[in-house]
Amino acid sequence: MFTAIRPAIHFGGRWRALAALVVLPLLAPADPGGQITRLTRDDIDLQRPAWSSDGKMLAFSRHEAGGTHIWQYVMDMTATPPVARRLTKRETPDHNGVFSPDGKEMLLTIIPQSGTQGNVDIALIAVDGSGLATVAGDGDGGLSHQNWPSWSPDGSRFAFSSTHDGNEEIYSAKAGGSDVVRLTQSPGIDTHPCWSPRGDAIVFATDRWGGLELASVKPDGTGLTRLTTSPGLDDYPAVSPDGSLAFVSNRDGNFEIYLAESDGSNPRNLTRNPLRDTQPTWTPDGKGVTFVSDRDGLGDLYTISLAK
Amino acid sequence: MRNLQDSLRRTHGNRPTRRAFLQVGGLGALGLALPELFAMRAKAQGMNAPARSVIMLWLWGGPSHLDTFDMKPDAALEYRGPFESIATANPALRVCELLPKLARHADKFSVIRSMHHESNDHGVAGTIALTGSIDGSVNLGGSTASGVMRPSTGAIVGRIKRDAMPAGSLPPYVILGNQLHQGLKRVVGEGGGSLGTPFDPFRIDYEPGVGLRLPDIDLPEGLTAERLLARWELRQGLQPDGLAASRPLAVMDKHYEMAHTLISSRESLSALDLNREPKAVRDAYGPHRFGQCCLIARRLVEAGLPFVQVNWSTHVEAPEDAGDGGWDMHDRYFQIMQDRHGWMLDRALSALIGDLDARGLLESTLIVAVGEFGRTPRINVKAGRDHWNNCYSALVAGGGVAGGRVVGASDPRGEHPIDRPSTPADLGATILDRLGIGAGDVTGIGLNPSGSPITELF
Repeated sequence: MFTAIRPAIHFGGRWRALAALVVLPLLAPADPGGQITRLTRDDIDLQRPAWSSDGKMLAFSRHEAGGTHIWQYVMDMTATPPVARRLTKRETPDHNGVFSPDGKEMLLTIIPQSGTQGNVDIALIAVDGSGLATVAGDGDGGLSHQNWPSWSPDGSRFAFSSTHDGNEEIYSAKAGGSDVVRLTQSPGIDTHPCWSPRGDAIVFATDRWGGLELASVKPDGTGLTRLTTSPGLDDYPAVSPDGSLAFVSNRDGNFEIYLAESDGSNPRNLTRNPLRDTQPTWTPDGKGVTFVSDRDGLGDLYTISLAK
Repeated sequence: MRNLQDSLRRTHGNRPTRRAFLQVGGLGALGLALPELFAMRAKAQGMNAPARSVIMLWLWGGPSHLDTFDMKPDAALEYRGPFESIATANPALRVCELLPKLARHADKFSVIRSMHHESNDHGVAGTIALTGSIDGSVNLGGSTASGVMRPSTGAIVGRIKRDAMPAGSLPPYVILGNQLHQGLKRVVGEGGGSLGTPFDPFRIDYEPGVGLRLPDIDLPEGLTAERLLARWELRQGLQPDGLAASRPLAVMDKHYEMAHTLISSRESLSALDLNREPKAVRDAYGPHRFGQCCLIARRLVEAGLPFVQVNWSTHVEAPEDAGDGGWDMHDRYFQIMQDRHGWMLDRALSALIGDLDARGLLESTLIVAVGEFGRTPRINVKAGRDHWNNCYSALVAGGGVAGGRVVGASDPRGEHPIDRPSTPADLGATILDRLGIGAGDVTGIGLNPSGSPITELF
């Protein structure tokens, strides 16, 4: 079972409790969003927030020690105040973790050996940090760079990006790593897949049309559909329980969180802040979007509720 | 003599004119002491130069020219990548969409698009880029190139400007950052080279959430630079006047020696105190280490230092590769550019240019932003870009450099220069020229001049 511990992390020669990261909500207007809740007060760049399906745990990865390490954390949101702990005791980087639908396991990106510049694997691990096992790696010498795992809603498979075939494409595999299926074909970049909660689509970012745009395919790789058409970058798609899209876009000259319908229509700026907002994920109830923002410093986590 | 110097200062501030210097030189036989003569000569040297100081932004690891200042929107997808170009304040220049703030200052800076040199090894290229010469460089395999290592451009400036520095100031050549590394190997080329270790840089660093650091000094656990200085003041206060200053340095441990260097320079010390900056200014530079170090660099230049280098990182590699976030992105390239390097460079460099301009200091401060090479125009099989020394870009601003110019050009894929090729030696000669340091000055300290100023920038 998951046991919340009060962790301390080594940073810059001093020990600091991560419990201090958590602060109370800030009430600030946002359009078309509602109340903004600041989840961390870390001032250390955080990356890829991801909720457990019951909303009791929030995962994120953290750049620390002067940017020399990036490690996966899990924060117990039921504690008062919430308490974060490192997921593993690895020396080499691990990050971009996401909870399995039952909340018992996580998929995360690991660097098997530092300094290899490209050998990036995906591993499965219990939420208590035990039983780390590589499920998508370079064991056959062909895979070199796997990243950004996303579970299917039933937990039987996961989608991920890989450079296995010479450029970055989207693949899926069974949870244990077998039955790898290539889902996209493009000479450019296909990345950051998100398996929709309804299980009917995998949304991802692609540069096949210039810039980065969002597209979707069915889980069998058919039915490629373009979802966005905009200047600049549309990236990091997240699909809500009802199929709505959240994503980051710099179409207005600054990285903001946007919302859109499931087909990409009706895009609107959710965050409207002059500093960077990025890497959105939906809260489990679909009523808010959690994201990374520099609005109060460097890369903290916030949740913005959707306006009624 | 003191009266004459005071007279000069009253007439010309702290920068006497060449005529005044010659007058003083002519009076040497009347009693000018040799050290004073050297000091006055150093102060007079470069007195009419357009630049008083240089801020070198060292983008360690090698930024991609195709994703910063030399976009190739008409190239094939495998070359141009996902980033689009945006218009700037300079109609002749488009830059990467990740640099929108910098784009608004494009009338204040110029870009050299035809930089190149002979090595794609970080260690060797770093030495070439910092010294203008491959001599004495060490490659990844540990082999050392023949020849005597030249001093870095910063060390040359430090050597020539040293005698003009006010008593008690920081050394004239300061690097904000640790000694450069490629993997676990130290990279040479930042130091005094053939001029000797006295002309190595004085290193300071800043870490968000921690504060100032002294990278050359292995401080005891939990002891920050600020606390070290506080200890020094306490130590001084407990001793009779003058005792501490008169004690031989040999009897002090190196921590206190370093502290003494800092504490004896009240002006420079205050220049390091970012708490004196309004929050809005600090925020403008960005919360990240590089941004705050750019702000410190501006403060050091205001305090009169002639050469400040800000290292983007210690290691070329990203944290995913056991580095600390350098520009050497062989994979995950476009994600890291979007999430980190793009906005970090955009915010810090645009704030620095704008801040210096607003203070009237851009005219006398030369900013150079460059790495040791560019990156492969063709995207590799890991969605990254590899090393590319055959063509890359440099940004220059202020200090006697015209804004809004694009010097040199690369071919349609950004693989090779097709117009006005320039080398790191040329860029080094340009820096020296803008500081008023000519070939004669370089020869005067025992070095052979190298490179030619890129006059199209002036």
